[in-house]
Amino acid sequence: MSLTYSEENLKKAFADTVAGTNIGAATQGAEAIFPKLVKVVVPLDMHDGYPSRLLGSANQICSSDPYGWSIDQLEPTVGDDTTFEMLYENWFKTIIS
Amino acid sequence: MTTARLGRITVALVVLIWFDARAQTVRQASLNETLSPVRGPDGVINRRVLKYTIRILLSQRGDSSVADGQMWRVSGGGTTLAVDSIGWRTFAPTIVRLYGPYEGQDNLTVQFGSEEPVLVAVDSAAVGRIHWGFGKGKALELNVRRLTSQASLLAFDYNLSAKMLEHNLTVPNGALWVRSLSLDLVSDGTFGSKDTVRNGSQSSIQLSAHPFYFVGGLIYAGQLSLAYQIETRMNASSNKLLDVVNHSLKFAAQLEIPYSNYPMFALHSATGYARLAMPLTLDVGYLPEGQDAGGNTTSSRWDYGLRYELAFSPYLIIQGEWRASSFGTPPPGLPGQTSYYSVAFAQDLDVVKKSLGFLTLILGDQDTQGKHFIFYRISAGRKAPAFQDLKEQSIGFGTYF
Repeated sequence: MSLTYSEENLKKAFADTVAGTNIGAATQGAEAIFPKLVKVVVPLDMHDGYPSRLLGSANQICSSDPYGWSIDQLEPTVGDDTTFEMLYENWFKTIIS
Repeated sequence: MTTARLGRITVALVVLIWFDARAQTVRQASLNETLSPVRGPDGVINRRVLKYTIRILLSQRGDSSVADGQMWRVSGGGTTLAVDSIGWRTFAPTIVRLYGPYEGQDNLTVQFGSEEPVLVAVDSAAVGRIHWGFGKGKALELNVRRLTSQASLLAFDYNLSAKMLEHNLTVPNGALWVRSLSLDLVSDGTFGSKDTVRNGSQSSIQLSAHPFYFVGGLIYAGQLSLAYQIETRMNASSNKLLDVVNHSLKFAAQLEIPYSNYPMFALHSATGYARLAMPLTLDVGYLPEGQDAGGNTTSSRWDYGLRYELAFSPYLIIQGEWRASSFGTPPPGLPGQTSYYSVAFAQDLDVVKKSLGFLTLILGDQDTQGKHFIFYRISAGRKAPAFQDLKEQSIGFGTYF
């Protein structure tokens, strides 16, 4: 049985996805990292591959138990002013079903 | 205003509202890949499958009618195609997915109710299994630094990469999968005055495979590539800044070592410091014999590298790099093996600004946390491609670090 798509579950899945990319602070919850700029949180050497890494983590985590959701294969676009909250609202919520 | 004119305006408004009410429900439709879990008889997810879906962006928030299969009609190749199921969620009410036999279909159209059919676009980035696409992944990063020994010398370290073609291969079943293949242009080096470009530059066109592996709940990336590389350095005798010292094939592998970043990941989990815990990254490359600008044969060479970062807090980020090279036949004046290291200590400029109030007058008082960094770097040794024996200390500024 898949988890319901409640706001709480969606935020937990997003935090797990971000933590899966190796950002430990996300384990404290999605809100903890929402205001942060993505490019600041990701070291310069890893900017280029981060959107792929994020989608890869979403694939692995959100299509597994306990979530069991489907994932559209669309990588996010990360600009200089992109925050994690923007990623959640404009990317993560639109690829989950 | 006359009654007749008022009447005409009212009619015009009614017509406008009527046209607006009849606006197309479908704003945009595109072919897409969707990864779906499959459960076994015991109810546990045992694999994932990749399905082709039509992803529809609605003009406005959809209501329950968009989840009704009777309302949708999909055509392709001159026939009507089935809509097996519909994905529509209230948390993303402007997006609808139609599942059905859409793989390999040409000229797909989708129609909602009695509205006009809309052509389904095929975005090569979204359905990479069957299309190659140009574009994404362009990046140019710059750091500026000043050598502490000679205050007048400024150096700009650059790192440029541009993805030319990419082919997605997404089916993550198991802990290891190849995410994509790509053709990239890559260049890194230093430019500035002739006294600051002594390490030279390396530029290549490379065909790469990008594996991902998922270990201990965290994702790690790798890269295997075949490249053609051009290496330049400053020629002191001719004063030429971009003297080609070698061009040859290059076979390379880059691996992130699982668990190597786990202590930092655990620290960030405890303290809440939001920074990606960078794994220890291992590089290995082999360059067979090549040629220099004069047509002389250059020696084959193995290159090795390690990179690591310890980000304790915004007050202290330490990055280290070690490189070594081993020649088949050492060039004149060089040992058979060389090595190079650099260590950089960085601080978020925002925390420095809070400690030194006068900086607020220069930089302003807006929140720039995590956006600008200052760093101090020590480097020593012989580094490809110039292999000059250097020992440098520098201070610098980076927008990202």
